[in-house]
Amino acid sequence: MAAPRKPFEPATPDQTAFLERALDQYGKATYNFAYRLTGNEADARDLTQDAFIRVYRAWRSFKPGTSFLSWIYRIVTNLHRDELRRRKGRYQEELPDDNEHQEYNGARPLATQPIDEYVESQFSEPVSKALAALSEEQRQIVLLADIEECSYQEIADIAGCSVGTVRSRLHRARGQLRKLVNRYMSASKT
Amino acid sequence: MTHPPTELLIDYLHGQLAPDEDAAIHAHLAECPTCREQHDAELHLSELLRAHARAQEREMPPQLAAQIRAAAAQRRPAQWQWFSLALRPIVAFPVAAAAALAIYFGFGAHGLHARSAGPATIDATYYLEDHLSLANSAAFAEGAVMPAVVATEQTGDGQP
Repeated sequence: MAAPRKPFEPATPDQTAFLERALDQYGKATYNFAYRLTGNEADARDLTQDAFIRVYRAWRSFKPGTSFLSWIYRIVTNLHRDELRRRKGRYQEELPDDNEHQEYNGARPLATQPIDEYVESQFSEPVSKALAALSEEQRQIVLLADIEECSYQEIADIAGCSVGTVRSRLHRARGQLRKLVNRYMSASKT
Repeated sequence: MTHPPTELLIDYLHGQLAPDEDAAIHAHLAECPTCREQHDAELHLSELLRAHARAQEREMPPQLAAQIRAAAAQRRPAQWQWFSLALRPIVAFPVAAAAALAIYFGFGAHGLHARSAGPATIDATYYLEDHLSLANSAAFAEGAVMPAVVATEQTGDGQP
């Protein structure tokens, strides 16, 4: 599930080649992270594009041998936070229309394992709603810790906070999430 | 070991404890059904999140990659990046050297060089007047040109 965090060595000093390698190796992971963060395809596309343009412009500042994924996740996180401030709005609590099983420019959900399909059919909506109901910071922490499987130190580097803050936010977020999932699952059965 | 709080179980679940703490929790869970049940509830939540993420996982839209490439190809360096490029030694040194040469030769053509170098030009009339005054039979007559040598030996009030 989590994208591999192998050291990323630019094989060439060429800026365009750097971008191509980044797109090839980390495009999907970055897009999915952006989608989970924003909750809708349109914002995920914009966020992903902006992040890779930043990567292209700042390619010389990337330190070879370090985690490229942590670097671009930090870029995505900062861009998303800036966008939210710009909009001065709240994260949508309603499910976005494109959360249903449908083709979206050819990008379909990839649930192929039977267990995943079962989970998708039974729990997808309550889990999606519960994640959407979290604060931006809480959702980000849960995504990075439980889905991307980042260490607390990596999360601290990405989010720009201390490990202690990561720990306390994650604990609160999970407590909140558990209550919400149970509530929405109970509501869906009635 | 006393029953660990839920927060510690979450840290244990994410593999973020120090080895001795991790081992202690592991040993306690083997013996305490209550804490094991709490741990399993946290584990179930994590598995639910991962399964949901797997089910929702998407390929990057092919048009998106093309848009990114097109945007990057059009992207010019930002103004601050031009400034940064200009400050690089390989650019800055030749530019600074060229500017210094331009200033040096430019000011020199307008007289700065002339004022600062070489001996002062000789005013020939000075010597002619001095010679004339020395040759004058009535050197100190009224209207005669005072020799420069005598003039400089007088006191400040002009009296001999």
